[in-house]
Amino acid sequence: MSIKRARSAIFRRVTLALSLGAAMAACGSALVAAPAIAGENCASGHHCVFYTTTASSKHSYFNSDSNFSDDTFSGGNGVGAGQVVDNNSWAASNSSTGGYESHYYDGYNYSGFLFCVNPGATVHALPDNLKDRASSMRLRGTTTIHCLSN
Amino acid sequence: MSQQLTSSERDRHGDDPSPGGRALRRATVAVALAVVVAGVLSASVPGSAVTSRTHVREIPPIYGLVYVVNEADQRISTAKQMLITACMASHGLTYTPHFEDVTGDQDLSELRPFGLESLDSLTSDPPPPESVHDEEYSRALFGDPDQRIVARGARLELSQPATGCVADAEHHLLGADRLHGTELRLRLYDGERDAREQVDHDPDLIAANSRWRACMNRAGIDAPSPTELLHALPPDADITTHPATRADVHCKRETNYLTTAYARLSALQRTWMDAHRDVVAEWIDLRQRQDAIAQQILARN
Repeated sequence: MSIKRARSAIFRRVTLALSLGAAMAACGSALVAAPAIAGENCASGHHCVFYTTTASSKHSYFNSDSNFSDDTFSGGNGVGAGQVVDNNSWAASNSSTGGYESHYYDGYNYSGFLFCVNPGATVHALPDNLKDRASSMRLRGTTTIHCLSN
Repeated sequence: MSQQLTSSERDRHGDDPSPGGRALRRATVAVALAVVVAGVLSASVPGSAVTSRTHVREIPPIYGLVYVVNEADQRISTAKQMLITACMASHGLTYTPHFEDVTGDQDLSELRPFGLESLDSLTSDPPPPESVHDEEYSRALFGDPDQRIVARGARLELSQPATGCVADAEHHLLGADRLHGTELRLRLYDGERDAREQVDHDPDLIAANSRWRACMNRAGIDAPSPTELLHALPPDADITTHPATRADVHCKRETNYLTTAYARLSALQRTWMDAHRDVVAEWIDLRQRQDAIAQQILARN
């Protein structure tokens, strides 16, 4: 989908180059950091999206969000810190302790379903045709839908 | 533990071909909207019509397997939650998940694979806020965070708890096939996404899109496709009242867009399923075995 990828490759590569040093420095400590709860590197009760891996910067959601364009990544090992979340995430994690599923959508306002994540699960390394796509996330209670696990 | 990408891998895969597209299209839509003839849309778009309920729409078969509610899945879900609740109680903890009760039609409408289908049901009430629990609670529910199992499909990799009450409940219902069940689900997801991407190149849908686009042009709006229309809207647009979304829903009805789109998506999903009969058969078999165990659990309680 062309619009979803309509961002500057040059800008991204410059950003990545700048963050690479911090990433390499932080990588070792991130791997041995205090254990995450439930979904990987996502605090209890939250739904997280990550810039790259679950060790990278993230954004944590506690409620549905119909528009990721005003959200930014932070924390983690610093990779992606400050980047806008919209169309920019590569992994997602669900740490709901109340049975809430996280449903991700291609567009704002929950249009164009991409995938959903069950409590406790983490989706890693989204492939090229799914990464940098999520623009909104809706929390749903426990449904009979088969998200990406059982 | 799951595989971790490095930042250099992100650089390698993160190629963005065309800058500024969204902003450009927003501007295009904004300009186009300026020439919308007042009253045309409000007169032609029924306010309370629900397209998905007024059009006969084929349910794509993979969606039918994994998204549309049925009695067996309800039994499995209920049994799983009962197992989790009992397990948490054995730790002296109370587990009270929020259930969402929807119909099969609503489940399908939630997917919106072709953008908006109606102007209803877009602003459903959010679920109640989740209670905040401490680490002890999370550990009981999800087990040791360092012990996770990883399933891989062609597109996705997914990790989930290996221990804890959720894992125990899934083990109870699936036994040694728990990981395989997730792998099968990921394979079905591959088929779902393959079909969704292929349908954009389907001649029938391309023709339907041309009719939709012509209809939109008559309403004074220039948009290449329904999904791109949504992406082009300003983030703060109220999609329940915005002239472009009203025109979108109207034009889909007028051109029978969704009927064509769902029919073609269904055909492509059937093609994938025909080529992956083993995956489908195993998935159905697993669900049946899970349902049999679920029925035993429900009968005891």
